[in-house]
Amino acid sequence: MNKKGLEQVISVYWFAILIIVAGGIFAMVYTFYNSPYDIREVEATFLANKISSCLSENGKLNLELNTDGVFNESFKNNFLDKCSINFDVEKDFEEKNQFYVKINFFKLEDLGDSIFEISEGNKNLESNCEIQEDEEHEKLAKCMEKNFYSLDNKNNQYIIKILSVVRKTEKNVK
Amino acid sequence: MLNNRGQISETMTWIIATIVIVVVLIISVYASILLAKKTNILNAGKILNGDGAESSSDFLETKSLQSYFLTPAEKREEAKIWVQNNKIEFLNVKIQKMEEILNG
Repeated sequence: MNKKGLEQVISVYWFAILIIVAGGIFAMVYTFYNSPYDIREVEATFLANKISSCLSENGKLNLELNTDGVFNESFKNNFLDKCSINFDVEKDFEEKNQFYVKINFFKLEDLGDSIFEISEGNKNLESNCEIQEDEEHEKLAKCMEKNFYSLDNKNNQYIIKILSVVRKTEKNVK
Repeated sequence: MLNNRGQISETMTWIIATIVIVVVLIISVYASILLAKKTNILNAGKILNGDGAESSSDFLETKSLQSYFLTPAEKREEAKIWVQNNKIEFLNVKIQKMEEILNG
């Protein structure tokens, strides 16, 4: 009788252990697959790459942007159309524009002063980059600053600095 | 008396086993939380360079490299200094390799 009672206690114990282990596995799978992929850095990189392709083709600056060393203001004013970029693609966000880009052109011999600037998108996002200079904050927009070297048709040398910012925090951070 | 001792030792074994199971589970859950935080796809763009060492082949660096080789020889030095100052390692290595090939 006593032995039968002990067996019953052990079977209840086994059942409890089974539930604990199953619960643990469920918790592991849930936490791992429930956290979203933060692809904002990749998105900002793609945006910078797309812009660079538009600004410079085959190693030379786009002739619509720069001819004989002179930058064209109309390219700047129609930048998004000229580069086939559409920022108005996310309908789920309260704040409409989730992107910001700023492009600065520097002469190679004078990297201190920008000679031409193009900027588009939500300018408020730029402050997110300044805040994150020392420490990254997940909930803020992701900033990606890239620069590259190019020439114009007169072989003048330029450094082009592209700052691309992607917010979309709600979709990428839990 | 002997029966009681046997029961106590058996109970102790199960208590310790339970503690071990719970501790292992807690560690696993904690590890999965850490792994979930580190999940990223940033390494997707990495490629192996010629030496077999992993390096990031940046799209913009490739663009810079293309422009560098279109630069007239007398103007290349300034571009090279910019590459070195900005510590663009991939570009620096590629420029050196290409120049070695071009200069025989």
